[in-house]
Amino acid sequence: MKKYTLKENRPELTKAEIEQGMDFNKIKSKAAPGAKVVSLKRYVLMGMAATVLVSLTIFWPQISGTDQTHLTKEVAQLPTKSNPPDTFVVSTAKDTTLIYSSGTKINIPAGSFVDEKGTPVKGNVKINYREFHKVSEILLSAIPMRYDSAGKEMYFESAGMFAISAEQNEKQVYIANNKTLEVAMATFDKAEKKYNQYLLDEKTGNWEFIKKDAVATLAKPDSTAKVVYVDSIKRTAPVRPLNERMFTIDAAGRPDLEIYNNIVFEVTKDCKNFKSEESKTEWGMVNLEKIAKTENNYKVTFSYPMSGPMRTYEVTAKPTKDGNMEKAMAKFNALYADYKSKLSAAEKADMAAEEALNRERNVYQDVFEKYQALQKKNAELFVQNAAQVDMATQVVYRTFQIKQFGIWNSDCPQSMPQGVEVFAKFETANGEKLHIAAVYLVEKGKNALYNLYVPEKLSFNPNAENVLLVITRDHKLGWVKNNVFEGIGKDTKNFTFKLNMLDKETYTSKDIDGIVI
Amino acid sequence: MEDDPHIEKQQIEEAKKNPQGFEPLYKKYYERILRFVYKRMENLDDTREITSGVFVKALSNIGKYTHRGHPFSSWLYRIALNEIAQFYRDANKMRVISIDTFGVSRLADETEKNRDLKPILAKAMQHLSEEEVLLLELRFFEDKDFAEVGTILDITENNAKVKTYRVIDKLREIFKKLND
Repeated sequence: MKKYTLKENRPELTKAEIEQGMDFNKIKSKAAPGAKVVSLKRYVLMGMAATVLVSLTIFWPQISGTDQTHLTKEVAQLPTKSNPPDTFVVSTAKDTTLIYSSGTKINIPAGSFVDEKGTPVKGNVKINYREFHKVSEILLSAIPMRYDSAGKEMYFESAGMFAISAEQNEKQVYIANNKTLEVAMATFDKAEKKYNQYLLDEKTGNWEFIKKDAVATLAKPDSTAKVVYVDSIKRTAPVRPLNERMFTIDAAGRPDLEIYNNIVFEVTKDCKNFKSEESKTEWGMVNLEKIAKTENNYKVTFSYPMSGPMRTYEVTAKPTKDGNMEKAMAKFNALYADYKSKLSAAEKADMAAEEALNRERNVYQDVFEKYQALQKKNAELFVQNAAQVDMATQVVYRTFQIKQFGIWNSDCPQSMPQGVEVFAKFETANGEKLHIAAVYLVEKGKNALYNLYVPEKLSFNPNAENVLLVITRDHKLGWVKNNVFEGIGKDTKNFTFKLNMLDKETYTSKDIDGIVI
Repeated sequence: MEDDPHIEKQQIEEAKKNPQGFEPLYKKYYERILRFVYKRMENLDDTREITSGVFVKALSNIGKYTHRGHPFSSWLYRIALNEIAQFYRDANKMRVISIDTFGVSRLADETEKNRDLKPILAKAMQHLSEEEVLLLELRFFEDKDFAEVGTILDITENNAKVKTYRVIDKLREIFKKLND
């Protein structure tokens, strides 16, 4: 498809053409004036202080008259308790797979990190990670959910978001240019393909479209009962495809597979799992298991593809005549004997390394203790989360290839709901006026927060189950549920929402879940 | 190329306190951003609108700006690139690439010596990603050195160099295939 059109030898812009468009007053009038902005990272990644107030101000009007009022496009935030992200300590020397409480898998290749000067970081690195799935979590995170599409305000319906960063000795580290981290985020939707991946530009507050979502439904990881910290996935047995049905195994570093080294395997003709499109995949791990009562058939399970989303692929295959099994066996026996003799030396070296590691671990004792507590909590959470998934043994994964840290999102832009539009006013049940910081419409069944920039102009879908959330300047949370919306006729022009009010020093996601779920 | 970074830092801090303080930065960078956008747009009207959008966003978000080693212009270029990408996504039009005889000749020196690239360049460019096109534009048609390319793309000078040479290699392969 033609993507670009070339224009050749265009005349340079003249001074008059350049100056004609300059108008600073116009820029000033269009820009949000005087916005005092706080770093999202500070809120999302480093934890939210209990004393944080409703944030940013442009206009904080008292909603009472009939003039339309524009609220800030920045995010108004409810104060919430300090809630630091979950942390994991990884060694930069090894490939590491982290399994998060939700079932999310994070693959971190060895040598993935650099400092701000681009120098490789060695030793241990702390990974900060947090996920946001529910409306309540999104609201409390203060992550903007607007998406500007050619001047049209769109709102994200989210399949899930995560914030990830890394640090060493309290200094931020970055992903090396030649490395990619893979985050296979477990989500709790029905594997719909309507979502895209976005990365938040924390400088501008805008979301950058990255690509269509890569969604796959896979077996729940083995860690459902206990969350495991996989120290190192050894990518030591890559599988090279030869043609559609044939492959060889490079068993370097895997004595248990040496016997199969250089043997050409062929997928059996009656193998029903065979997929020709998988024949081009190079796999990081392979396991072979002889199938009983067959002449020479093996169950071959491939996993950890070197590219593309995480998945496994299982076929039945047998060695072809091209492979010399006896020769391979002799070679294997020789190598295995050598391996055994080296093993004791290696074990001694391992013990020394273990002692060194233990010394290093003492430095990170606090983090490790927190991590162990987290493991326990994660195991419980994972079981709870998994129970919410329709498919008892399956998890929906959305896989991100990330080349920079930040806030990543699997989202689908939505327009403001339509159907009924009223000129809205908001007050307490006792008729008291409110100083409003933000107004959100939530539709049940949609993981979206519709942020009303002009709160008086409220449109909603009368066929949906609606909830209205209002944040006031003095940190109160007001709401009405769908029964109020049911009382608004299609021809209604003006409507005053009498809000139930919640007044707390700090809010939790449970407070909001109690209203919107 | 850049003004005194110390003065610029003061101007940024001033703009954070008072929108009027943004004016010196606007005056300093308006022409540079306008020219940058124009190279990628069909006409001057769209160019002005996008450039205006860049500075509106910059002023709206100046409070979030933190100096991370790259000059302020790097931030403006990134906003401009986002705005241009958004424009083409919404308008569903083909993205404009401005080329000139001198740039084509330099590109030919790097790829297909002694050949006239013009007949196949348009076809070859269709095989490149947005980032790859951007690297070629900056290096060959806007005559930027690698330090400037790195600044605009928020990457290191060395990385800009490596990435550009990778694109040249890729383009060379594409030319070969198209010539066969």
